[in-house]
Amino acid sequence: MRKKLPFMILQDILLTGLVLCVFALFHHVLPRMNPGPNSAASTPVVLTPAPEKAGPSRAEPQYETPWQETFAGRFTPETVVTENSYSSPEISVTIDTVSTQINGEPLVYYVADIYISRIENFQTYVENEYFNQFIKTPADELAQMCDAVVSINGDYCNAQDQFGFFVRNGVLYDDRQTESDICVLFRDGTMATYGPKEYTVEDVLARQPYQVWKFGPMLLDANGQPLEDFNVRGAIGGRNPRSAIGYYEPGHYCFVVVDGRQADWSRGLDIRQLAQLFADLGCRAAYNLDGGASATMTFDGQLINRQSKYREIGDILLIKEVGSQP
Amino acid sequence: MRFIRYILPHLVIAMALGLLVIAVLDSFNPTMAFLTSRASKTYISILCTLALILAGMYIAGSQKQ
Repeated sequence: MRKKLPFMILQDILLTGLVLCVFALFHHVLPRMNPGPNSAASTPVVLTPAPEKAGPSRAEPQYETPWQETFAGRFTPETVVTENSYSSPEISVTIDTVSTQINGEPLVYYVADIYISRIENFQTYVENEYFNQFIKTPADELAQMCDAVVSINGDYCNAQDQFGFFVRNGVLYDDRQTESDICVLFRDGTMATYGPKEYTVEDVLARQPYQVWKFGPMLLDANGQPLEDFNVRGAIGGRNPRSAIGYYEPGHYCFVVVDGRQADWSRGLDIRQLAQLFADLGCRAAYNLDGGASATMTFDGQLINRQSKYREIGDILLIKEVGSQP
Repeated sequence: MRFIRYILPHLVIAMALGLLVIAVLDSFNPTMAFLTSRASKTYISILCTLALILAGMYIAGSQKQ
């Protein structure tokens, strides 16, 4: 029996390895080879916007939308593109690249300050309508495909079997509540973040959501101050590359991408530091998206940040021209 | 039958160890759904079924003795 025991232990270890290989086959390999409907995917429902209420006409007839008038100083009659800015009658984007230090270690992050004239300028693109996690594309190719002025990676909504409350460009894909924080961009331009017990799907749907993202956590409280506790688990809370969005007022938003996991370039931020960054920017709400190697920002179709390692992505948040389309 | 009596305990050990590995991976990266995917749920169901069979065989064997 003594001679048999080491053999049995070795046998069990090898059998464990075989079991894990079989699991990986069904969890990773086969879904990649056979992309198809996600078990969580349901029939998309177009959320029809409520008809505009009749009211007093705008004082300045040359403005097509109220935000064009509110942010008139930001837009330009013609499209003007520089190395780090874009302005047109519809969109104004300015990219700031900040290179600094935190706790004596290098930190590089990018802030895209965004003004839009209509909600349709702010879109989300998912590579595959089945929300299959293995359909991915380089971030710059996705941005070019979508004619994005500026884009960042999204909330990894196409992760395998990831169900949740998803609305993309006014289309409801899934209405199941989960334990994650959500971020909602409503049609009136307001953006709000909610913890899992702070909302009901019915209440959110009643307010005409245009986008609902599910990754999290939310970063700021109702007063725009960093939260004390965050709804995270695992490695998400640690120092990592980051992608996140911030909200100032209807029509004014920001995208932030933080480079990380590169000792000589940028170490990244943990969740508390990221929340503090958005509080320092003056945002009223902020929401963490998928970070790590997926953290990417493009401007004018070109990748502008430095990924910790090459990774393709499946969904992006983007700002684009839509002309006078509804 | 003898082969099943031999392999079943080892299979349960291997699958239990594998589930521990999967649980650790899930704690590091919950977004990969190591514990919540269809494959994971099937894995756990199979492990539970084998454990039940193994326990039943053990109890039956004890009763005979």
